[in-house]
Amino acid sequence: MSEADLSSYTVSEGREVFLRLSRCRCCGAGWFPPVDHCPTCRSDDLSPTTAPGAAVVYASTVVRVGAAGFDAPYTLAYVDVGDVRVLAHLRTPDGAAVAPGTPVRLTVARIREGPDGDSYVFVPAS
Amino acid sequence: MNHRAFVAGVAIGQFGRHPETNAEELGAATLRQLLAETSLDVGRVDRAFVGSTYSGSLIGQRVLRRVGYSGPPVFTVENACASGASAVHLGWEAIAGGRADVVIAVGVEHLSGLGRGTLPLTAGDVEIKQGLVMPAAYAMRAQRYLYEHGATTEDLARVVVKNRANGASNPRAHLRQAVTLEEVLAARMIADPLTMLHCCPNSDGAAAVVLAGEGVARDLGTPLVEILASVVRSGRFHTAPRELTWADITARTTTAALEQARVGIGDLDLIELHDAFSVAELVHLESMGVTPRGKAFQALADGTFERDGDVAVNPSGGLLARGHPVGATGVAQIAETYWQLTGSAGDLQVPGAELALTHVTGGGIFGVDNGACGVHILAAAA
Repeated sequence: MSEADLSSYTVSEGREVFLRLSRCRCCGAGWFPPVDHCPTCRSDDLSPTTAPGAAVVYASTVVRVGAAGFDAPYTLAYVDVGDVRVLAHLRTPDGAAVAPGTPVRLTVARIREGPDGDSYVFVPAS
Repeated sequence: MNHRAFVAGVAIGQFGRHPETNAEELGAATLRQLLAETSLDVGRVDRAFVGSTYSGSLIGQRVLRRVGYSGPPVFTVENACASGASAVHLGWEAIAGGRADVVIAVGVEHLSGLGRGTLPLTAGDVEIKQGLVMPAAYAMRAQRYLYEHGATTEDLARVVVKNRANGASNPRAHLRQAVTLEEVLAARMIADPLTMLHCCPNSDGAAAVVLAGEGVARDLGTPLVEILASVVRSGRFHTAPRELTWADITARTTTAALEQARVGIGDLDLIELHDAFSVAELVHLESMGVTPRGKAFQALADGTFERDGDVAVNPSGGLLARGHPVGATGVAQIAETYWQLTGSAGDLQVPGAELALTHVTGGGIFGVDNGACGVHILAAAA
């Protein structure tokens, strides 16, 4: 994704990377990517916040026939980060999918070729 | 109070890969077939709705002008995999609301024109930008289903074996060879744990139906099937964790349809549902309430969903065998069900079929489980 998108979606603190969320002050909903207006209650009273670093894989798969512009195989996962679920690439040592419940952490890495190939990516926590 | 609405005639073009033709030709050929079989005077048609996702602007007019229908209202309907069901739904609404006596609903898609591989999805979507494709989305549903319910990849493969066996007797099916459990498991991996045979083929095809109010329907003299319920819902949007083993949109749409039809899920003789991938059949059966949650794979293994089982599920072969020309699928399900309920389904006939449900759902955009879902409940006309 573009550098602008990446910096609006994530924040780095030292070597740690966190997702930026929006928290609706009206209905409490958390949103990723961040939003200016709450899609649930239409409030524009949202506070920017960051997701906790602890994240857990909900489900994952190795994609062997991928989307145009991506080099298959690659591993995708739905990851629960606080009260949002995020789809992202998952980098495992052997490229395999991991079991639901596996703890992961966020980093930034390349997911596709080209000038805007960097994205938020999950790696095993340990 | 709704006016009664009937399906008074149906047609399906051969589903498959037809790179030599295009959506307009496919739609027009199927409509010619429909008009010939029903002897319907096209001048009596009040409105037409055409469901398609990848056919471009005005596919409705481009198809209908080829069969002598130009002048009255035409609407092209795009709702991803539920495009065809949405076209039927809008036709039903026009008749049920007393605004039309005769409506034609068409579904058409020509996926050969897009080349091979996974379907192109909405550009700009935050998940699509990560490289999400439909097989990957369903593969994660599958991993989670196996994890939560203690099922195995063999349990998923049994869906494919059943539907491919059903499709082997369907002359309209894209894939007409039965497959074994071993063949399903050994096929090329697409997105772990789903092999190629767990995925429906991208097909070209068209289907069309005549919908009519009671008076005109009786005049036509064709066998009739009554539409007891027609419901479309959209997916609820949020980015909180969403259960991939529960199709909220299917549950909501089915519940509303059962209420509209005043029937229970246990009353159904057959279901044609959206088995775009093997695991989808199990998740949708559970979300509809056909079995308790986590139990559909066992009921499948026990033969409950065979053509002669308690409730036949995808007796036509479903998307896995008949194929999935996206916008045409919802209309094709209505057509297959019409033949079942009029006792004219030939080798596919479900014994004693009187009450049926059709279900399509789909559309990969982030933050919803599916973009749109359409459910119809149909009954043999008294």
